[in-house]
Amino acid sequence: MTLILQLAINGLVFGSLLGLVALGLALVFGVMRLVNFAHGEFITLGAYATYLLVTTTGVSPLWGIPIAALLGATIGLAVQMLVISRLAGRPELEALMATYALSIVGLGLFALAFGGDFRTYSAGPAGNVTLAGVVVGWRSITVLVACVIVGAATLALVSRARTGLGFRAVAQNREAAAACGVNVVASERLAFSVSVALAAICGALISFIGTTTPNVGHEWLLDGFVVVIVGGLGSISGALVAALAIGLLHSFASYFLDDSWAQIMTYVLLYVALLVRPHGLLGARSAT
Amino acid sequence: MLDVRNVAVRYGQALAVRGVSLRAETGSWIAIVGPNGAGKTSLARAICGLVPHQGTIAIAGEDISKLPAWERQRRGIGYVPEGRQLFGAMSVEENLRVGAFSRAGAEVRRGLDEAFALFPRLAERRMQAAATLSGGEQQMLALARALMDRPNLLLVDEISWGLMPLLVAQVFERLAALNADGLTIVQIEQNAHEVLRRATHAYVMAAGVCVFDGPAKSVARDPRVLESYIG
Ligand SMILES: Nc1ncnc2c1ncn2[C@@H]1O[C@H](COP(=O)(O)OP(=O)(O)OP(=O)(O)O)[C@@H](O)[C@H]1O
Ligand SMILES: [Mg+2]
Repeated sequence: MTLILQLAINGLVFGSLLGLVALGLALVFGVMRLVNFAHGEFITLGAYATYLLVTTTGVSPLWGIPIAALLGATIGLAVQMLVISRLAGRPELEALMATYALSIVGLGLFALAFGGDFRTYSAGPAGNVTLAGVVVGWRSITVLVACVIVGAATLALVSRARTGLGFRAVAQNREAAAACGVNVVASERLAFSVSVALAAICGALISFIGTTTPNVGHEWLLDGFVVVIVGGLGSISGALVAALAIGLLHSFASYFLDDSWAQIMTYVLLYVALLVRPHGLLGARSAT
Repeated sequence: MLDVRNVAVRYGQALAVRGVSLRAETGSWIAIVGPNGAGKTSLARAICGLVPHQGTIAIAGEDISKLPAWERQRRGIGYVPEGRQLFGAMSVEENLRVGAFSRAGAEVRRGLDEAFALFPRLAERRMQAAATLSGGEQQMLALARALMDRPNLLLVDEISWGLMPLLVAQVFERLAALNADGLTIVQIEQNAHEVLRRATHAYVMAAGVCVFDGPAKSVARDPRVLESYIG
């Protein structure tokens, strides 16, 4: 029983990080119809930023969260304005190739700057708590709580705030949104910037419980895409459900079988989900 | 109010609108009629800034030809597009909120109250997703959404499409009441007889050009126009 609980908690931590990755991907796909292959590199950016912050200034890695968010938002805005916005109106495949190129450039830059070393740090919350016989690291708890807070804030932005109303309007009908007075260009900029900030926050949290390498973000990206597809493209609540499901599946499968089986089962789930629920777990309604 | 000069719209090689000029005085009700494919919708989209166009478009004396769609909306253009173009997964209320996107909270609430008073059917369905409304309700929502930002000019494209005759009559009554309150209306309409009876001035379009224009009553009586372009 304690083993099951232990695995469930590991799965929740993994799933909640995956949820944040997927949230950023779904936001940009929804508002801009853009598949952002460079999302992983923005995760890596947040991880290295936090690593550098902690190892050079000695502050708590928790500071990495707001710093990564700010850095991500700024760089996201710049990349959107300098690279992505120029692709407006081009075929989707061209935009996809551009973000793929951006991803390769990012991978190269991180490898040049940091080499292939595995980077870790020991600052910040440490140790374990034992709850009903289950040993949970303080770091895992911190990550879980941070994911819930950041995820809830993003959901509130999208579902309650006026900005989010604009995002959803642009996602569902770009022209009608513009004819209603929504500045679609500004909405796209902001959505991309928020998405990159989310990726960088994920990176900060990943650096906290794992190791940082030039391709740490890249490794999360494919699972992120799986979550977005299983959840229903652009459906944010569907993506969150899918993220937790895949997190749990991954945790149990890698313990009872092994890591490779966990990967295989994730993709089998993707295939089954596409066959059974082509519009995602929650069956996203199509716009008129 | 609205001054359209020599507007042309091109899709690739094809010219859909070939130099159309049109004026709407404040408080007038302009009808645009003509056969399918005449370029009426393309002209409306050009006025709203939804397609690239040549020529100039001025509203209240200001040239808006170079402005993006959202800024044109903020100059007072309300648009009821062909095919409704609602935000299908959003609720009725959210659709209306997008209609008043540039307004502050208190004004939005007042706008919602007015919209629900004007369209009680929408009030009953406040939280329902727009895509699940009946065709008639969707059409009402498209009109209510366009009115949320208190436009000076209402551009209406085929609002009676797919509505039963009783509803068509109701929609025209609504428009007449709005027009009586001073709203300028430019209405594209297949139901030529009804719109020509109500409008002050009419333009007949065919093959991308304006082939005839004059007081709506005279267009309605002109046998050549009726026969060749309206039927
Ligand atoms: N997005 C587009 N791409 C290419 N051609 C288009 C596009 N939209 C319209 N057209 C063409 O432009 C011409 C005018 O179309 P438009 O929709 O403006 O006509 P309309 O007068 O509104 O017709 P209807 O009464 O059927 O609504 C048509 O020949 C149409 O095929
Ligand atoms: Mg049309």
